[in-house]
Amino acid sequence: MAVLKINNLKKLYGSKFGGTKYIALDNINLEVEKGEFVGIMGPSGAGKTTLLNVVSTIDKPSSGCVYIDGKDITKLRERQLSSFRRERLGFIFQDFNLLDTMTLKENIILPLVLSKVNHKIIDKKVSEVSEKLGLSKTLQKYPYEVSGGQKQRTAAARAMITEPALILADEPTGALDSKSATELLQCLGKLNEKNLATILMVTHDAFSASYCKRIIFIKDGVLFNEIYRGDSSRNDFFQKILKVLSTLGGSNVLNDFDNTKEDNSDVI
Amino acid sequence: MLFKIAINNVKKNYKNYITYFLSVSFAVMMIYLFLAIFYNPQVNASLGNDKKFMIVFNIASALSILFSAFFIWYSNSFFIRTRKKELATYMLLGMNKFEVSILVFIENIIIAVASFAVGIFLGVLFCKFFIMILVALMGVSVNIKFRFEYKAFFTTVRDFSIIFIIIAIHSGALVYRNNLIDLFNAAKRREKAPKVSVVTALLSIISIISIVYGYYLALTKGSKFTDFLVYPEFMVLIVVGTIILFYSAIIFFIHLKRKKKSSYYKGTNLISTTQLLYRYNGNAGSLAVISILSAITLTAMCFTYSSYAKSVEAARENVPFSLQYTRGDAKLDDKIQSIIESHKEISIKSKDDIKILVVNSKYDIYKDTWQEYVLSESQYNSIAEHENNSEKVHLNSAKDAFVVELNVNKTEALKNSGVMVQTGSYKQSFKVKDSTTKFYMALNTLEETIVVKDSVFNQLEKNTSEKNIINVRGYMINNEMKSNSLVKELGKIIPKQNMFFSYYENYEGVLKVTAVMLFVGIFLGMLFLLATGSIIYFKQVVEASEDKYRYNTLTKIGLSKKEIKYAVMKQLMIIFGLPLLVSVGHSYTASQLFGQMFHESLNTQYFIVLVVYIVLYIVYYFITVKSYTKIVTQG
Repeated sequence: MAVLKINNLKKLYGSKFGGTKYIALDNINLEVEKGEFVGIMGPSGAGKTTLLNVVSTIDKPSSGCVYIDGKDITKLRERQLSSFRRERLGFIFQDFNLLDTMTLKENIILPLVLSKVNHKIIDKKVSEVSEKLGLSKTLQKYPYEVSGGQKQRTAAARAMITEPALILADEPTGALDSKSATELLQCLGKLNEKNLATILMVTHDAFSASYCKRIIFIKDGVLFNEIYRGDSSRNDFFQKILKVLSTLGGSNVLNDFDNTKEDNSDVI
Repeated sequence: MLFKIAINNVKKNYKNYITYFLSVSFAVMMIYLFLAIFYNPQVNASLGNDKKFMIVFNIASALSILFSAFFIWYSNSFFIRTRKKELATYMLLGMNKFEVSILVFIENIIIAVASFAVGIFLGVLFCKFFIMILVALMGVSVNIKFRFEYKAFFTTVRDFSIIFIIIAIHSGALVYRNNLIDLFNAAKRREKAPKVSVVTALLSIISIISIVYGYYLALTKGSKFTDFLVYPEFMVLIVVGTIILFYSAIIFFIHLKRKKKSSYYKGTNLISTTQLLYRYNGNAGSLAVISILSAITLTAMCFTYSSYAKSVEAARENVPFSLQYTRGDAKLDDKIQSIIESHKEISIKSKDDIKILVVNSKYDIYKDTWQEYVLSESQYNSIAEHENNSEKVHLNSAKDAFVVELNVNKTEALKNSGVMVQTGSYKQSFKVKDSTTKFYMALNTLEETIVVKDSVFNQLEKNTSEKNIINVRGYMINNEMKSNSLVKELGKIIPKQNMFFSYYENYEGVLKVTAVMLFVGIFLGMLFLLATGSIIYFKQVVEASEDKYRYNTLTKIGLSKKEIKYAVMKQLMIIFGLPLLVSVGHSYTASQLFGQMFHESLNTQYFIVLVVYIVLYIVYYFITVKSYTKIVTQG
């Protein structure tokens, strides 16, 4: 069964007073199976973040349905949504979004605590997860005491501790140096392979994308192309991605400063 | 141009400014009011002989001014802090530092002028109304005229202009001193969760011991009433204890709570506790100050209210007889008797003719010789009977004496000491069996009195010359409270040297004075409450806007609005609740101390004051919860 199924999804933005409307997403259909590691790429303004926001239930679509684990999330109410987000989804953000008031451990266990899971189970789970992500020694530290890579791994731990149906990552390597970025991507890859975690990752960066098993390209709100890694090596896949990107128009590889521009306009 | 921007800014920041604006307006109103009362000729006239108490209004206005200055300074620093980024943007857009400082200066002046105008307007408008309340409390019926008190107005204008100009210059300077980068990063300044160490634990213990010992002193030593020194000791212990408490014991307590995983790792507890700890260092000082201020407010209100409520009893202490005068010739006695009888609204309950010997006395324990009074046992007991004083005297031998002492602090030492009484050439020594500080006649006519056996009294009287014998007549009457016209009439006909005193007149005086205290107490209490409430409010709202991103993250991870509100409520419950709890402890103890002073429990009065205070305080709590939640849940 598909973990994520999107049917005829449409998202319009328009001014409150009528006038011209801007189509952010137009008739998107997409299925993600359990255990997939899917990347979403596309130029600035293509609708990547909008798509992620709709899937993560932070934004509502104008029309169409989004099924996660067979449940139509567009029909859920505000209160059901927050507990759904907490239990069925995991998030990794570009700027980590860790709470600097809490230790790394407290950050990681937050979703479980909010769901009022027994503290003994919490302790067990946090040691499992931190082991996998190499955080065991830094658990009692505060976010401002650790490196960017450790912060993002903490965020990844927080995202997966609830064993969610789907992990959503929005430019997770955007704020990391190349070494930390590689470490994080390897972690995500391992999670995907060993724990069969389903990951949907939005990225600008072809290198990051090359860790995925499938890449979906979006342009101007519609699905443009789709490629699978299959049995090819990561390097071959990287070359393949670059090729598609060059046909996509606004090249992402060369115009990396687009990053900053898009981040500002995508603030929710 | 700058002026236009300033006006726009004030309009835009209306929400931030509103509580500040209201508090300042209220303070201005109060200061005008206190001064207007101080200068009001009708109130002055109503106080009659107790005019000196008018100074209370002047002191109250001075206190309000001081407090307002502190409050305005404090809130203003907050505003600058919240707006640093905005100010930095102006600079980035090409305004120079001087212009931005001027901008802030103009904004300050606009708000100052507006809140001042509103305050003065309300003050002038309600002045008559409040004076009517005051006069009603004083139990005087005067038709209060509406007046605009120029002197009060000008003094208020002068004092507030000084405060506002200082504040405006200060905030201008704050901006001028800062660099662009500091302004931009101001909000990002990282606070650190307080660390817990052995020192914290030690300090916690010290603070608790200090407070508990303070309470112990107040409750035990206060009851003996031998040492007024207990008050400053009590104050120092409590204030120091409270400050250390907020810097150590509370942190320690939260830390212990954090150790208990089963409750700490449960729902929103984790969020509210960590948020609280993270912000704690910046809050501890304010919380301690607020606790102490609240305790003072509650104590002062309880004290003034109790004094007012107990006026009836308090007046009795200094003038126990309904009517009392020093006897002259028989003609005067008859005249007074007939006037009393002619007043049908009252009736005579009892009449005491008191014979007092003026003698020289020398106690073993003191060096000096004093002039004192001597009274017979039967006379004293008869007076006590009529005055409803249960403290009767029983002397066993001719060598025994009972002393009515005027100075509270001396009674303890007197017991079992010897005293030598001398009248004329006759000498007699006694042993003091017991003593009291309850006055058997008007304090103004009283000296320390030695009560002796009737036979001894007669012996002494024989040796006392006529000029050293005082004859006093004391009446107790029914319907004392209706004796107003009788007292006035007697006051006119009894000559000054006959020292006429009446319970009713004294009661009127006590009522007036306590009414003044009560009035000032209530208004100062309200000002304090308003200001302390506003201080917590500002601080929390500023924190809310700085911590908004954190709640944004929580929403993304899956925290519903309802849960956020719940977490905020819990967190603010501690911020508001702790100072309240501490101040209730302090003020309750203080009320017990005062209760011993009144010889009566003040629990009812304290309870009433507390309920009113808590209700108003809770209003602040909910306003703050609402604002906080609104800020952090906005997208």
